[in-house]
Amino acid sequence: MRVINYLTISIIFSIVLQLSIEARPQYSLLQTYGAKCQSCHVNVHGGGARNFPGWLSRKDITAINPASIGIDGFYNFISESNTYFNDLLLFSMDTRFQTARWGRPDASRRDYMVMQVSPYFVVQPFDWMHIDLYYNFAYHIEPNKRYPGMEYYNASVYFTPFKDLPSIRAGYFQPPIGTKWDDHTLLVKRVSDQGKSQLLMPHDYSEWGIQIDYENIDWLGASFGVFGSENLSKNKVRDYIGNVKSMVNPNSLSYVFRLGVYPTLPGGYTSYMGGTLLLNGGLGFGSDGFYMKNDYLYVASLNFNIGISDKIALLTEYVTSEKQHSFTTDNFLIELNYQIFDYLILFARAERATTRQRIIDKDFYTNVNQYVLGAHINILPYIDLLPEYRIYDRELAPSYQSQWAFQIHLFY
Amino acid sequence: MDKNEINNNRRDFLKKVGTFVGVTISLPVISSVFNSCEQDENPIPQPPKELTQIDLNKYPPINTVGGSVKILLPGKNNNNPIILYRKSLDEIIVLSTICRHAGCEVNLPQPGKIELRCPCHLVIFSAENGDILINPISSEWSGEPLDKFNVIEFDKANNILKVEI
Ligand code: FES
Repeated sequence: MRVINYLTISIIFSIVLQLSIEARPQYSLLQTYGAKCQSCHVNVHGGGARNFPGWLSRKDITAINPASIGIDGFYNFISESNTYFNDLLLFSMDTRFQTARWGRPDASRRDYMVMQVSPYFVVQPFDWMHIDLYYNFAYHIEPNKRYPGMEYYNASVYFTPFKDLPSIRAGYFQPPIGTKWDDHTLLVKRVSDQGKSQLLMPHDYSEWGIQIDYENIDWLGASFGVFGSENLSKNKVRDYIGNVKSMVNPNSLSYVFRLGVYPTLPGGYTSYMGGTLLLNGGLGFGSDGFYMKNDYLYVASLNFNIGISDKIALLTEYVTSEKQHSFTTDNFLIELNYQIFDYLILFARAERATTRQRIIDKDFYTNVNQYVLGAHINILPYIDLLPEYRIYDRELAPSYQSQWAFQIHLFY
Repeated sequence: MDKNEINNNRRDFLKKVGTFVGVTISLPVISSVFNSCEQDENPIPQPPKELTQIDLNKYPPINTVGGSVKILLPGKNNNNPIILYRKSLDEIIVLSTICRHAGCEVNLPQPGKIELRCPCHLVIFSAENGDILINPISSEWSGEPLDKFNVIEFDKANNILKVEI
């Protein structure tokens, strides 16, 4: 199928907009250090190791003063800096324990899970180079709760030989596709279907790749990367006649674009917007212009986010994808965060995912909605509690699934 | 230590014990309130089962004993494929491909084998009846067999299978 229209639209939007944050994108609007992911993270797309300003920005946020319960000694000990040996080494960490109902929405059961035990190390031997390492020990603690293609480590090297020119990142790491949320249950990167919806790409997804990032202008961020497809190919899809096949050919390349703008707004308003595009499969050129060759996959995302520092963050994301001869998805998310105190943020999120699946000669549509109410409570420094109430509703099924979920997040 | 200090210490101690007892008592109450707000969705209603004819001449692997194929019938089995497995010359087994753990699609058996392996968490089902043969995740999932469909008639002369799906 000719996809020039989709592509043109996606690329034009990508040029106008940007995305790919990770972890807690709402924080980038609620704080005042700048909305760019790099304001708080080592990775230009956010997530992973927090840099020194990122660590500093959350280290004193707490509902309970540690001194009032006699544990200030411990916090004083760990709160001097997250960098060591004259900034040669930076240490950061995320650990998450979660309880939620898992399994099919019509037969789920409560489970307790160690989702993440991840130290991050960033080694900077020279001004122009740093090495970013990540390992998730939870994969060894609970190997049965993982899906094909998920990866428990990352290692990459950043080169910035000239301050004003783009930097280069090479190694085994996650391509910048869509917002990198810290919640694996979000519908935006799923292919919702009539069973338990499947993933568009594995969680903690990593590939061998090389990427150029340009972050030198305050209001602009851009990336272009080329990645292998080994882990993405472990994700299986079914084609329209029922054959199970890999989401992509393991020997193919994925091309990933990211573009974003971070306007400076007056009056305490904060904002960023952007888009990403992943193309997998060859490009051809015919009489109608560019088209994607057989068996392609594309995933395009757009986001628009606006907030008032220390008050409100409104996040939106739209992700559309197509796997030729298999499915198309149109998924949307909107989330409102309201900061009551710096240690207490309430949020409400609504998501809708639509999948079209062609089966033999008929199209089948599935709509799934999810609504989440929750809070982030920094009960003590580096300890975030995340209670949530979730409603999951497949429109084809009577009634809906509702549940409480609870996460303890230790970070550093 | 003066009397005030002793009183303060005692008050402090009683406050802490009271808080502890209060939290302990309220935990089951809070968790039961939470649980009462939880529910599962109903299954997606399936169209009433109807007699479906499958022309086995289209699927050569099924014509030898131990052979198997996956086929997709639009609108049937939640739009997921079914597996046909030739158990003997006279018997064909029809199973859903959907693993009831988390919904992944099981693989066909190797030629001459009966093991249907789910690629997600490696549970192995029997192609002869859908039952679980090996459950490496028994600590978290007690296991459910694959759905099995009723074969109403196997017309060997014309190689036509009639199944209730
Ligand atoms: S989905 Fe089949 S074993 Fe988990």
